[in-house]
Parts: sequence; structure tokens; C-alpha cells
Amino acid sequence: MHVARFITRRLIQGVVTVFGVLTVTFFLVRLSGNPAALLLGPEASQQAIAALSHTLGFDQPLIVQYGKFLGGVVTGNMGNSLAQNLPAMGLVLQRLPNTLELALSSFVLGLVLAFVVVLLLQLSGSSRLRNAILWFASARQAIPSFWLGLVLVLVFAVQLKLLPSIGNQSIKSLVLPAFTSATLELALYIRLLDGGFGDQLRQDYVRTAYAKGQTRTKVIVRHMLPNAVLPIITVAGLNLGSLLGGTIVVELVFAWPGVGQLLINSISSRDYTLVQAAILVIALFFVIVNFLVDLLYSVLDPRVRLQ
Amino acid sequence: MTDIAINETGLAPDPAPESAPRLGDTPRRKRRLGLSPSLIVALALVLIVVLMIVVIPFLPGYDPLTQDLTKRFLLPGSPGHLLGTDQLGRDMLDRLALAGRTSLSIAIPAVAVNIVIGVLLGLFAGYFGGWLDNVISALADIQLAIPIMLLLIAIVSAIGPSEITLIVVIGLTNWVGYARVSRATAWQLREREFMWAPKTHGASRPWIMRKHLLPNVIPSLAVLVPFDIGVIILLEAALSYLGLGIQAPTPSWGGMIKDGQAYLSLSPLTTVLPGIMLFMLVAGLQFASQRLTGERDGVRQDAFSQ
Repeated sequence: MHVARFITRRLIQGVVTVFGVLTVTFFLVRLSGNPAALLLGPEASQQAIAALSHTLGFDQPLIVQYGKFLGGVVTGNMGNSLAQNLPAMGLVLQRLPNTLELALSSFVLGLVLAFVVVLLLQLSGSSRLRNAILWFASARQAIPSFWLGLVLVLVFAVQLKLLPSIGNQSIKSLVLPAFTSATLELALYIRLLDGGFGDQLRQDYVRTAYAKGQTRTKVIVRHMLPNAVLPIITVAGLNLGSLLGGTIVVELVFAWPGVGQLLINSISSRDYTLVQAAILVIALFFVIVNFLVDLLYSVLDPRVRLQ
Repeated sequence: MTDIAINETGLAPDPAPESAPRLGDTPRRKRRLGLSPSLIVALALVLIVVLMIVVIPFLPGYDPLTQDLTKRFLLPGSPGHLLGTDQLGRDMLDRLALAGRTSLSIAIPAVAVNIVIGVLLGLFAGYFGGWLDNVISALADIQLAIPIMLLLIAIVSAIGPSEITLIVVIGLTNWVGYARVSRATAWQLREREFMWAPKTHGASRPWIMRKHLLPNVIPSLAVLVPFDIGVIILLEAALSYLGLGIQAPTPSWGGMIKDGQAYLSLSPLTTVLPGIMLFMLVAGLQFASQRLTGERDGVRQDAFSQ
């Protein structure tokens, strides 16, 4: 019963999020002037603008346009790309695998490494090592990813000529972009997991475990680890969703043929149907991931369902 | 969650005294508000960048905008160009300084908007509770549910980039941290004597909030501010790198990196230097903030979840 209500609430929240982002984009585009005029540029004649407005439907009342737009969102038909005259949704979906490849590999790499690092830190019990690693994690969070990516290109592609710097031809192409994003993920999860362990240290159950003669390794791995992981899951979900936003920047650095690069290129070519399709896909990804994470969380931690 | 938030901001004493470590405790960083070496380093980084931003525009020969194609990519130490020149022969040092000024002129107003919205909503939610609390918490949840980078790209792509757009959008979408801290403090203090005693003198609730609640919130917010300025500087830099932030000819660190990228092998410094400035300022601000809060995880947990 509780589970069903929980799921329904999360679903509604997700739909509201996607709806909100799309509505904001839709009305802002309309508020900022006639998209047809923007598309044709400042030198276009009034007739040309009026003709294009008519073909694209911008001469209809705003509410009609909005209704058609929402209908398009539901059916997945966002109209044709203005620049390429192909279905916008198809163009975006064609790019999606590349983006997922980059985003997911950085996410998994960062998360797994963070577990290894933090577990080793806890087992070693060295405060100096811990401070050093936390310092590196904080420092990484203060470095813009696009700059780090370019420095890596400078070292590994320009100077050492070891790795390709642009495109996605082979698995070697993935190394530099994935490393750039993964280090940021790693920094985030190291700090989160370390905080998670820190919260567990003074819990009664840890003292009890030690009191009954449990070894340090077993207390850390068996008792503390599962509890330290729980808070990570929510943040990991939110973060995996916004990772796609961060990937946009990294895609541009490495000319990675993904949704982010397509989005930024369509913004500069004023191909607004393509822009809206790309934003819809990214927002949907974010919402779906968060939903799955919430489900996972309610399975792992029964307290969530009882709230 | 309320207790944790309060502890992290240093309002309440640590529940477990440092003198009583337990078996299996890893040694924890001591909570000291004095000038530790790492705090001095952090403040020095910020100071260097701020001094550059403030002083360089007053030096003779300051000229971040004039192009001179005969003097492209001069190396650092060239006469008149301490840090060399960029792809259009403009002085790097002057441009770095002006870019820093632009960056702060977005980050500081944006944070100010965040604080005003966050504190108002947080205090009302915490002090009055009830349905108002529910509504404000829901607002915070919605805001957290939308990735800010995506929202910024969506809005800028629709209405075009400008400094005002950046300030307004970031200002309206980044207040949850402040609301969370204010709400927790208000919630904690609302039953205390100094909160209800003035009512016997006929004080109104808004007056009590302003005179007795607000001063108690400010210290815990103050340390959040430098951290957040760092976050916003990075956000603006990323947008400018994508071409959606500060527009040429106004220099920005992100924009300089974007322009330098095309000449990466010819003149690496054009790309590397703005990144170093960004790192110095953001790392300085965030390290200082972390040392002052003594925070451990440094990551915003979800807003009002208990």
C-alpha cells in the first residue's frame, strides 16, 4: 500500500519536473520574439518572416501552439529540425548512445573507485592519508572540467601523442573524456562516502560490535559499510541525472558526438525544435534516473516507505 | 537532519567531545576556528586574485581590449606584457583581471538574491511551520529536482545570453542551501524564551523575526556564502565556455579558455592561465569556507528531508 503511494507520488513529481522545464522553455522562446524572425536573421523581409511564421505555426494563438507542443511531447513528435529538416527527436536519439556511453562509464568508474579508496582509507585508519585524499577531492571540485579536459589534451594528445583528443572512433577516444568526468564523480563520492562513514563512527551499534569482540575489518565492511552507503544513493541519483548536464561541457571539449554537443550547436544555429527535443531527452533522463533511484532506496531502506 | 544541519554550521556544540575517542574512531579533524595553516593558504589564494582584480585596472598601460595582430601569442615576460598576449594580441594579465571582475560581478549579486530568497523562505517555514512549511519545502524539492545547468541552458537558449539573465536565473535557482539552514535555526529557536518573551510587550511576529531570529541565522549563513560564490563562478565559467554566458568582447575566464582552445598546441598558456585563476579563486573560497564550517562531507544533502 505504502509502496504504491510512494511510487505514485514520485511519478507525479517527475512528470511535473519535465512539464515545468518544457513549459519554461516554450514560453521563453515565444516571449523573446518571433522565432521565425530570429531564425531568418535581422536582414529578412517582413514577407519572408510572415511566410515562415505561417509554415511553422507561429501565427496561431499562443495557447493553440502550446497545446500542439504538449501533444508533440506526449507522442514524441517534436517537429522537424529547422536546419536539417529531419525529425528532431530522431536526431537526438541517434546521439543518445554516445552520451550514455560517456556519462555511464564516468559514473561507474568514479563510484567504484570511490568505494575502493574510502574503504582502504577506513581500514588503514591513517588520518594523514585521509586528509590528503579529501584535499585532492575538494581541489578537483574547484577545477572546471572543461579546463581539466583541455590540459589533459595538451599533455596526452598534443605533447605525448598517446591518445586521440576528438571524436569517438575507438575505445581509446573514450579515455580522456571519461577520465575528465570520472575524476569529478570520484571526488564527490569520496567526500560523500567519507562523510557517511564519519556519521556511523559514533553510533551505538558500532560500539556494540566492537564490544562483542568483532574485528575492525568486519565492523567496517559488514556493519558500517551498508549504513554509510544509504545516504549516497539519493545523491548518486540526483547526480547521475545532472551528470548529463556536466557531460554537455565535456562533450564540447572533446568534440564528442553526443546530445550535449548537438544541443549547443543547435542553440548557436537557432534550431529551436532541435533544442527543445534535446532538452526534453535530458530532462526525461534525469527524471527517470531519479525515479529508479527512489525505488531502489525504498527497497533497500524500509523506513522510507513508512514515512 | 535538523540537528546535523545545526552542528555543521557551528551553532551547537559537537555532541561527542573530542576528549573521548572511542575504539575504532579514525582521528577526526579538530574543530578550530583559529587561523590554521590551510585556512591561511586558502585566504591567501583569494587575496591574490582579488588584489589582481582590484589593482591591475589602475596600473598604467591597462588595456584588456585593444587588439594588435602584430603581437599575437607573445610569451610571458615580453616588454609591456607580463603574462604575454592572446590570439588577438591583447594583454593576458589585463584580460585575466577584467575577466575576474566580470565573474564576481555576476556571482556576488546572484548570491545576494539567493540569500534574500533563501533566508526569507527558510525563516518563515521554520518559524511558522504548518502548511507554510509544507509549501516552502515543496518549492525547495521542485527546485532541487531540476538540474540547474539544464535550466540555465534552456533559458539562455531561449532569451539569449546576458549578465542580467545569468544573475536572475542563478539567483532564483540556488537558494535551497540558505533556506535549509535558516529553517533549521528558526525551528530550533522558536520555543526559546527570547523568542516569545517580546510578545508580552506586544511585539509583532515579523519584528521578533527581524530582531531576534535573523541575527542568530547570519553567522551560520556567512560561511556558506564563499562556498556558493565559488560554485556560481564555476557555473558562469562553464556557460561562458559553451558560449552562453559572457559574450565577447567582454573577457571571461570561461570565454578565454574557449577562444584559446583553437590554439592549444600553438600557445597553451592562453588556455591554461584562465583555468589557474579560476582554480585559485574557487579553491580559495571553498577551502576557506570548509575550514570555517569544519564540515566533513561538503555536499548539500536534499533540502528539507528529515
